[in-house]
Amino acid sequence: MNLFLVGLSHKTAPIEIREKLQFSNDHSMQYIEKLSKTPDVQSGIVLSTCNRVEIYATGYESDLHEKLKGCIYDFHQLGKDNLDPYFYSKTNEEAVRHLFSVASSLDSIVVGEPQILGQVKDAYDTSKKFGMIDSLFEQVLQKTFSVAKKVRNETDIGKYAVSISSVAVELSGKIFDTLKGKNALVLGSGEMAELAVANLKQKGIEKIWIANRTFETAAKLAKSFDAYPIYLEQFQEVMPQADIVIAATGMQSYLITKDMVEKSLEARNQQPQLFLDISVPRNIQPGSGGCDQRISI
Amino acid sequence: MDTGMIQHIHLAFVAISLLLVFISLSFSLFYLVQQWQLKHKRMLPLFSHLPSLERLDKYVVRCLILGAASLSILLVTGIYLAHIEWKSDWTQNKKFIVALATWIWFLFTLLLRFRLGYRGEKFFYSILVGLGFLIASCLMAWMV
Repeated sequence: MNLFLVGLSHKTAPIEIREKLQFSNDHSMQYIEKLSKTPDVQSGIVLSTCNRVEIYATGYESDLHEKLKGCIYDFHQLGKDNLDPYFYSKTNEEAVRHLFSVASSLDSIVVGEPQILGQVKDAYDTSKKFGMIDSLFEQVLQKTFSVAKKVRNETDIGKYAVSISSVAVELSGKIFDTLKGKNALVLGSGEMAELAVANLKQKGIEKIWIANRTFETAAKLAKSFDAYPIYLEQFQEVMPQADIVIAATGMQSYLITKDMVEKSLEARNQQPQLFLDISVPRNIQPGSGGCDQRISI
Repeated sequence: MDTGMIQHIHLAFVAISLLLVFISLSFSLFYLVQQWQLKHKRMLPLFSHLPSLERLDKYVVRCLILGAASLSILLVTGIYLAHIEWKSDWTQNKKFIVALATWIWFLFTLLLRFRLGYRGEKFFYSILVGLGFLIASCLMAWMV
């Protein structure tokens, strides 16, 4: 039995490519279901985060890499020719070592961020539901979790509470002198949005609006941080009042377009506005950064 | 007030004005470097500790306001001194023309900011282009 890995990450592929191959939670389930019907594959997980898309699978074949990649292309209805150079493939020991490194957050874009272990666990749970974890893979994954915990407990990697959101908020210090007296609009109310809100609050931001498709979720998050929940449809009305706009939703299309940014700046009488897009696929239309007086991260 | 005292005041404001031009230029460049670093997600080691864009913007605007005020005093004292001490037509004097051009440059950048709402990149590029044009004109005037 062999363990195979195919994937791409922030180290091998730009955001434009990563977002094309991204798996949402539903997609991951569909892909695992598809994988379970593939005769040569015994088990597998899909690890899809903002920074990486990786498929781990076990099988008796000597090489499953091409088959796994083919399944990804088929799933996203993409041609393989242009995307092959962005992928890496690893087998057995190399694949296990890579998984250990990923789960321990050593391979993350923000080294030490704790979210990745949860994401590996979620991927494991999803596959388990479909009976796609065999005994070999179970052992590998259990070992992965213990290695990741050991790395976190026995080194200083987890000393500082870092995440993409915290780094994004930290970056606002390069634009604004202080966040006191400033307002922010956060789109989304998932884990990344929550971390962003927490970091903004910690930096002393005056007012935060949280916009979400499900108003109740926004309201729940807003309540814990003394913020203001709004319906997602309302965000354009509030946007000109926000000095910082953070997009962290799971939406598959652009939520903020270049036109919206231009209108917002006009309404702000050209006062600078910072837009931070921490979602994959991106929620802010690429090229909006070209608008005058605006920084887009 | 005697002429000697006015001369001292005039010279002090020459130094202050030059310093403010230099600071405005440096901070404008820092602003553009910082903006470039952020937009390209790349921190150059030499410029990794630059102040925030907001602070740089504030400093440049303050320097421009102070510069315009300083140049105004410089011009008034200069005109007074020229009137008394220079017998020839001082309006054609190169020093006077340079001081006047610099004063117009300060006013022009302030006009861009406060009347036309220029901010960010556009504003700082305007400052640099204006200053470049000013320096080139001065050098040409000196050489002719």
